Amino acid sequence: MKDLKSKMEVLIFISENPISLKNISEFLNIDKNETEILLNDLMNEINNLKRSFKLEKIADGYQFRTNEDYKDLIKEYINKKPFRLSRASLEVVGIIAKRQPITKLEIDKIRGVDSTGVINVLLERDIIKVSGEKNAPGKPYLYKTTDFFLEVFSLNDISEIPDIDEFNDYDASET
Amino acid sequence: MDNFSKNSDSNYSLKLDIFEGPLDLLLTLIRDKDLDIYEISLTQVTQQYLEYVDLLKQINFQNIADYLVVAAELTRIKSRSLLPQDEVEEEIENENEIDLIEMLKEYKKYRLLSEDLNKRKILGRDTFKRSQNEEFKSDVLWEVEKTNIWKLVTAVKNILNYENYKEIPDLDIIPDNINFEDRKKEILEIFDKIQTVEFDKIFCINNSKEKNIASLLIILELVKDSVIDFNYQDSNEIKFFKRS
Repeated sequence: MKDLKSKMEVLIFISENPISLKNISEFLNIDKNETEILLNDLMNEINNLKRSFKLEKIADGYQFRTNEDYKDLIKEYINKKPFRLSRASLEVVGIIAKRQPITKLEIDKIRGVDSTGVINVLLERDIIKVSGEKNAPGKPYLYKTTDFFLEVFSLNDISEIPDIDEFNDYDASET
Repeated sequence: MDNFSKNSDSNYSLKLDIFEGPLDLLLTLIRDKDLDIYEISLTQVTQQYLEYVDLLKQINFQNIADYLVVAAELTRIKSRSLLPQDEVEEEIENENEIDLIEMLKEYKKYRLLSEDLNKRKILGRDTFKRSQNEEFKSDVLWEVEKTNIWKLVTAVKNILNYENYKEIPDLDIIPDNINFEDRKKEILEIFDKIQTVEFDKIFCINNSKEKNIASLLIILELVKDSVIDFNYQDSNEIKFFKRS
């Protein structure tokens, strides 16, 4: 068991992107359910060590990620100008995440304003993608979020996005 | 206003996506007054909303049409609220009307969702993964805009509300010809010299209206291009600074 978990650990360790349960179980030739149990064990073990990094479930895969406490240190070390997401682009990506696949016109209608610029930025950054065309006059593009979106927002699955109807009762606080 | 739009080329119309749109503006105004989304709240912010749209018109803002649609609806709601009740019922069935209340409520949910997304651990902002190269070349660092652009617009709007702008200038006063490039250079020079630039170093009641509006356009552009940023304390005093 210990040996199997260590094998899983190194596979995750060497991967830059989240490595899927399927890949791990097929490569090690272990049943998928058993793999998942072992991986959950492994996650608990590692995360209980309270190291500077954690093992997390991201975009339906497994990945080592740093603890939040070290974000400033890391940013200082990487020393790169961050790409700035506007508040508008967070809004559009939220709409797409909830309503996908969705056309630009439908997004514009929710926001009451043209979203072309924001959509282009999100496309360029691989946060969203064109998933097809809507069977409607003009054959408008349909947009979806990408796996990279899940990675950036630390989501394992799109269903982890909260139910927006529950937001009804409390008020927006200014950030 | 006409002076600089004629002199400068058309790329000085503003197509900023740092403005979230008319519904965001409306929601901000309603929230600032601690109101909930009801028709009566809309009538209470109509005048203010129209003032913002007036300013956006002057900075040659490209998405202005979207703001005008909402302005028209607000005006209609306001005038209807002044009508006797029986006349209101006849008018209410117009199918062309947009249901502003419904739109706002729906929009607000996504607004809250975006705030929720912003609270998540963002890769390249709060948490980092292993990188395959030393220089982190393929890694994207992210940040999310913190400042509320309406704060800045409000501050400029307040300046333009001063009495000295309300009078129609005498004919013998030579209109202030604002050259955008010159003003931009001027502003950039200020930022080269000083770390933190006070609001009234850029916007000032002694400047002409045209100059203040041109400055707003330039400042918005610089904020959008991540050259500068601004913050504000509790005193609401805005300070600009150059981004590293």
